Amino acid sequence: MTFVAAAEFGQMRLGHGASKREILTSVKSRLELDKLQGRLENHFSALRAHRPTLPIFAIEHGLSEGELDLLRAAVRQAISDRMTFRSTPLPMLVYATEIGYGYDGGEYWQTFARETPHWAQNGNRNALRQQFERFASDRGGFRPTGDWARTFSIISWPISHAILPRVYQRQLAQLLYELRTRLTRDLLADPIQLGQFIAAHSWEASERFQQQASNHAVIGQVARSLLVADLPDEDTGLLESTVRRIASDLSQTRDARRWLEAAQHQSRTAFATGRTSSSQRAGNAREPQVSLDPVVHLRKVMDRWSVHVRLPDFRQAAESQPELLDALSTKRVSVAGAKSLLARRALLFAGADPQLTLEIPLGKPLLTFEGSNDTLDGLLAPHCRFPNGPLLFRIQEGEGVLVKGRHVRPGCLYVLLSSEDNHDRGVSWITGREQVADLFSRELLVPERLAPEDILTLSNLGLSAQTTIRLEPVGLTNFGWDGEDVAAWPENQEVAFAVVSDRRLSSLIVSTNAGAFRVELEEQQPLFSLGRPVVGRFQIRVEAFESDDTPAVANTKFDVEVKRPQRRSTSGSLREAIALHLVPPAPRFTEIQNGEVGLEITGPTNVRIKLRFELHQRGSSETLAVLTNSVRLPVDERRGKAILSATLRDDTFGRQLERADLLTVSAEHPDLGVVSTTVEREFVPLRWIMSGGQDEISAYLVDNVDDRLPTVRFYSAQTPDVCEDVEYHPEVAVGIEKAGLLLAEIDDIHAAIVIMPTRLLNLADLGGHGADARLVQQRATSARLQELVQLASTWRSATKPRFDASLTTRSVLRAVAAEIGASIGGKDWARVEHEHRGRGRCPTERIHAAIGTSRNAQLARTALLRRLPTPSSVELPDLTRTFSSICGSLVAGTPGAAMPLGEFCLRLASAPSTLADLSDSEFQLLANEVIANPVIIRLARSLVFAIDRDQEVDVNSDTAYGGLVWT
Amino acid sequence: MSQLTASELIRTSVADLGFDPDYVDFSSTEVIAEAVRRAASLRSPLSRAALKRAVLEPLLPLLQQAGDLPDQVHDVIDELLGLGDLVERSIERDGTDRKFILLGMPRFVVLGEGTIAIVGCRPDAMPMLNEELASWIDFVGSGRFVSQFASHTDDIGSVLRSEGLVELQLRSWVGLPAPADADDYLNGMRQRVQSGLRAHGVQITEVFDPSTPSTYYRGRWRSPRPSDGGLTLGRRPQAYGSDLWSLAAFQDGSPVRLTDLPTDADSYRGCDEAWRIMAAMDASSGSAQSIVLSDHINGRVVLSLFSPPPSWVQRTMAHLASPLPRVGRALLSYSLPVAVIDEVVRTLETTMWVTCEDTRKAKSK
Repeated sequence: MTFVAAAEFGQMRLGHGASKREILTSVKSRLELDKLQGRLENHFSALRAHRPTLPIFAIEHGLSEGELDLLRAAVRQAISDRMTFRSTPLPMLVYATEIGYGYDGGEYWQTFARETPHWAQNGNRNALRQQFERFASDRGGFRPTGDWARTFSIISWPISHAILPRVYQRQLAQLLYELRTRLTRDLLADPIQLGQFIAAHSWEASERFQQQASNHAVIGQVARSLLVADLPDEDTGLLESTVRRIASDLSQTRDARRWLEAAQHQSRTAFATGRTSSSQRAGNAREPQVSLDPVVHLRKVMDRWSVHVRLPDFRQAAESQPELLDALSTKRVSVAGAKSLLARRALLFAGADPQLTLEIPLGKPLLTFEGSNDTLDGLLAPHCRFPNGPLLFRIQEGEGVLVKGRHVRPGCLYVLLSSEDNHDRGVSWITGREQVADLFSRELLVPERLAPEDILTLSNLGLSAQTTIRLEPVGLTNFGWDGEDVAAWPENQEVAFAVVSDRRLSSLIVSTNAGAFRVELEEQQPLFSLGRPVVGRFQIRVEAFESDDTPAVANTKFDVEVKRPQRRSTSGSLREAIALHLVPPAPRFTEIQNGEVGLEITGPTNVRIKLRFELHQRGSSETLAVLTNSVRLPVDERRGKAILSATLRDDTFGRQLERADLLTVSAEHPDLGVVSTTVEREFVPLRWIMSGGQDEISAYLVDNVDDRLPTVRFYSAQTPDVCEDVEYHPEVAVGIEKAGLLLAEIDDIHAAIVIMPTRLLNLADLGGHGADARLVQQRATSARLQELVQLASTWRSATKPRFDASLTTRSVLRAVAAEIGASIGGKDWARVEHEHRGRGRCPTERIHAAIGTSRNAQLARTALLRRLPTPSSVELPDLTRTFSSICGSLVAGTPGAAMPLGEFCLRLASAPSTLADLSDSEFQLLANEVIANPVIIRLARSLVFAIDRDQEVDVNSDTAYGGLVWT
Repeated sequence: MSQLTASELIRTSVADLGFDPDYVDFSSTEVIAEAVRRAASLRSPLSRAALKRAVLEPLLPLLQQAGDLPDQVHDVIDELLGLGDLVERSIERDGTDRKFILLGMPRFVVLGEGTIAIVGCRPDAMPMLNEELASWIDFVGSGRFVSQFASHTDDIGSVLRSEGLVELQLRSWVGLPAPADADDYLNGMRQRVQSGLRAHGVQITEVFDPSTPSTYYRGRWRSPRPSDGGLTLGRRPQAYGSDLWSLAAFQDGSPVRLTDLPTDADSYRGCDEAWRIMAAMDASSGSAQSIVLSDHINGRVVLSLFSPPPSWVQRTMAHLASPLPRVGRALLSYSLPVAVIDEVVRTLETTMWVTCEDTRKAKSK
């Protein structure tokens, strides 16, 4: 009976032309699916009954290897037969999840299609999602959430249900190994807390792993299972066979096995000893805060003192504040008093040491996020505040260390910075007066014997002589001691002091926030220890007594900081002979491709190192391309950027870039060592891959957006604002014959690539002068300007796989800026723009004449020439400030706009794409002001022409104008 | 919080460095070397003087008498620089080149016979190997070694690699200079000086006097004299950091042309080149530096050096020999197995032009 029904069914599915053998295979697979469905239903029901509150994962199917093989074959056959899985959804879920478990982190659907014949024709992605959703609602299956799940609304299901795909296992093992000494019993007892802990420390791992770790419950549960799996009576919350499978797969590599074993060992210790959080361990009433004070120090630059701030590494603080981590990862930070901004993620690494040249922000918050709001600044404000003045520095080996207590010691050399310069004229031991930023400095060579008038002078300066007792750190070397009353120790080191006094003392009372105790002084130089305090900072207060029945004769304070050592990065550190940094740190692969990343290599001057660039595909040991270079150290960011750009645009290397998932940059020296860093391609919804034929370039769209088809448009380089619709078929490459930009869009997701024909057809393809990209001329309105800004932004951010694509992009960006100038500036100015575009320059007199004949225009032009006679020699921040103040004389002001009008106008005139993130209201406000006062845009464009004439454009970047590189 | 005595704190500190305070203290080279490595890992980049101060400052208040600890720390810093645990190089800072001590990267060198040398330091006093593997490390003099026997594994290299250590080939680590005739070598250096900078007004405070006996290194340095002329090795102060090594053409007691050492910054330190130049000058003037071989226990041989060894000699010794307390007036002494004597002597003869005085009763061949 069953066979007849099945045979009919087979004929119905396969058509009447199907052979008996085909029908039999089809029927067998259907029967197998029915069996497996029954088996899985029972299994998942039992699991649900055992774990009513915790989610179930499809990977916990509990099938044997043989059963899995049968399942795979049956599902493939069913798909080939165009069968639906309405009555047998569970085998299909397990199949999809198994692909999620084994996939290499690349493109899920491509892997799926490769492993599943006929999926492209017969598969139904939406049906798969519905089955997973039903599994979640009916059987307590896990339901993915968050941005990742929203963007990848189908593949997030099988990948999440795989719990920990193989590609992430090694990374998790390494992370658990690195964090092993910080695993506590509390943490291991709570999967969500453990997951948060792992996620907070995963920001240096690949972006894909971070996405995986962002699901705290899952990553915490799997980590807990791996760590405590062999502990008796510990329910891991996952099916034991699944945990064993992950552990076994993870142990395939020796490193990962050892890492996991070491982490398991520590976890057992945590359970056995009941190790709890560090604050409880030390018995402190309050958990001390991690210090994020800047280390203020003085250095000689060009024979003059200059103030620098060594900024703390915010990693530890950010680990417990996800919003701070997010802001530090995505926003640049402004340092009060410093000229330039810190790159994104710079504060997540130690070593930023900016010089404060503009002002010394005494007592003020030191750091603010660029273009931020109060909420974001509120995250930084409590952490990093500049000390109040006056600032006293003790000079040692040509460097000044800040003395927080403002005590001086006889015979020592100090530099004092204060806002006043009138208390110490005529004092012989105070010399070397100079201006340091907005403060006055003087050098103090404190006399060996202080006369009363010297003590008065010190007091007038806000200083005092050292008290009669002093604490000196003793034992092993610590992180640093200012020579006075501040020192830092690494975690787990004994914090001990010697008490030095020039008086005969009988006892001391030493107190900290943990309590007080009395030290009886029998020895000449008594010692006391605070043990091994937990990470944090606290103050020791010491009172000295000459006898038990008299009041204290002296007292002193000492600031102690205990810091957690940082694990070593493969890219080296400032303490090592070579360190390699990408700027911004940990960039995205697309940022590298777009030439937005700088490379900095610090090390001994003039030493030659081998720089090596390698491209790999994920999951493959094959090297796609290698390029080596010999360079002399140090390599600054600018030179490094040029080296990186030139490498990526190397013909052979560049051709492989699109195929590659990993770029490794390493610097080697036979004696100094090797440092390296790897950038992994992020998982993006849409991505173009270009490949070239003899006559035509084709571009293939990798589409990870599950259920919607993208629209594809083409913008020719010659008419960059005219859109041509492109017929798009999934899995089929798009052929293009001329230079231009190919844009794929789904809702707010888009991917753009600038493609170049194999054979250049005309100059426009290369972007030289006279190679006109023509834009449609329209009247200037704020809406039109916004359109042009978006157009520039799309071209700027598009992937440029070849060097000539950058040249073409530059031509388009110049055309956009010229169109903005022409449309706002009026007819006469439009002629200047036309002439400048055509010849590459325009006579200065002609430009000046076209700025305008009104009195205001004449005054502004004169002011511009007087205040910026050689604009190309002025740094961009100063140029912007000066231009803004000239604009201020023409326009009353733009209340409601955070960006100064002058900066807006200069950006609009030179790099409109940098305004793409401005809010609509602010953009309209400022744009309308510029449209109403066209003389401003003419002035701005004249500045752009002047700077561009003098400054070389970096051929490896796609910046429109030389010398105007906005960050 | 507790009151404690100096000896208690010394014991704790020795234990924190990974040693048993019942057996060793701060008079042991091994303990000092570990203290120096730790100080550098917490404070670098810093000058040599600052590193010495960073080690001594918190220790001296604990010791009844400093004794020769300051000298020992000084010597150990030299040895660690020679081995590659630390690196001293000029770094440009605020427009000026200054010499700093930095950390050598965590690496290992397979020395043969199942022994591996561990080279470099991790920042922030992080241990070189994790807590389970730390017991594999054998401290000998200033060096650290891991033997196949102690590790109970047949693939130590793979374990070390998984700990983030990079393998360095023995040949690259030792970095032997190309063999050259002493006169040719000096002529090459002379040409570099001639094409070097004019040195009028440059102050050289100490010069090497080749006429002094080569068996007492510290006695070979003196202030310049008006009679000094020709190719002269000297040291000159700089604003910050230790004195520079310079090779100069002298006339009437003053330098006229000068080149700072190293001339080959890619490969050697200034002192490596300076000590080789001294050896070449001695050899060229017919009084080559000598080394002495003498008998030792268990069939081993004592090799005594009277001049400081450049990095390649130090590394050869780390590879093949064990350090000994100084014998007689020697600057450094080592114990070597008989089997490697010829190799070591040949290295010293071809790169430092030494003569070998063999005082052993039963000479090996």
